[in-house]
Amino acid sequence: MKTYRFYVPVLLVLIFSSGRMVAQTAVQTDASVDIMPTLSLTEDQSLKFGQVIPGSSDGEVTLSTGNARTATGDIVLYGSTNQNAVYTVAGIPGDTYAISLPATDVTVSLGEVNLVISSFKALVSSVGAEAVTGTLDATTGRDNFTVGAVLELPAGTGSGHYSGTFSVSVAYN
Amino acid sequence: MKRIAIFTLIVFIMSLIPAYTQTSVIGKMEVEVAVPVTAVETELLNFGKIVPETSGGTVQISPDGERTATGSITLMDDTYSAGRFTVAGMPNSLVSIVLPQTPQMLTLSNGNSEITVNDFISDVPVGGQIVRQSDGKAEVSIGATLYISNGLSNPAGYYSGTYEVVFMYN
Repeated sequence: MKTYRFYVPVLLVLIFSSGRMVAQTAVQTDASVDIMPTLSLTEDQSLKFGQVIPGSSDGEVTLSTGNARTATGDIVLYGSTNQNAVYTVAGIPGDTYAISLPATDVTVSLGEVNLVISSFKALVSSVGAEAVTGTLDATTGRDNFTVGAVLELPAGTGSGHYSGTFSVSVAYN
Repeated sequence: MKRIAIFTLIVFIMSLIPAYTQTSVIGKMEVEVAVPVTAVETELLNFGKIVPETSGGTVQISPDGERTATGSITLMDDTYSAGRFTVAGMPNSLVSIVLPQTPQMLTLSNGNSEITVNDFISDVPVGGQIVRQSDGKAEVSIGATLYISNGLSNPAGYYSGTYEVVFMYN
């Protein structure tokens, strides 16, 4: 009987100690999730070249990242409805990220007519200049950038509203 | 079993992390290609038939087609009109006008005499004429003043010439 009583407490201690190890592992799991919040990207404003009137020869309309339009030849820039695309990035405070803009031509179209848009550039708030990387705010974890591009406008382009889409990506550096 | 389950959970969560480090959005872009301004002359700027008499003077046609004279000029009962143009452009756009700033000449049909036309004026308001929302058109009238000397310098006959008007978007 005496030997029987001796074994029971030992078994209990072993069970408790292994229980504590399991609890510690679980805490580490939670911590690894908190370290990497999602990097999010939202479009606040779309890219608009505004109203343009084709010239007598093929030309280009440039929308700078500061929302200034310039044109070649006798293309006429009309009205003031042009605007840069604006994006907000959110993620780990203080971390840097890279911006990917379309490297190949994209198009806006009306019916079967396509107009080519290229030379995308981003003005990054955290950098204060055109850049391909940015730094998320140390407190808010946010940054934003504005995008400009170049539109090719052939002579004789028919009037109307041309529209299209392009892809923008951000990734942690 | 518990340890294996937790370890599996850690591996699963870590495998998700790379997917969260890059994100893309599809941005929208657009451009409005507009039509150029065009204009068609629908009525000639016509001073009508006049008699300069002894000393000549001026004949003015206002944009709304009124004709008045100064000096010794007698206005004959005849057809006369302001110049009229139908301008076409983007609906609801503003079109401004540039008129000749220097004297334009009307030449006698035989080429031997000239009459000066100057002081062109239009009914386009300051800031431009608003093109109609419905059809993108607007009517514009132009008047001017004719300066004529006596009948000796400007013999009777048919005098004609041209003037240039520029319409453009504001």
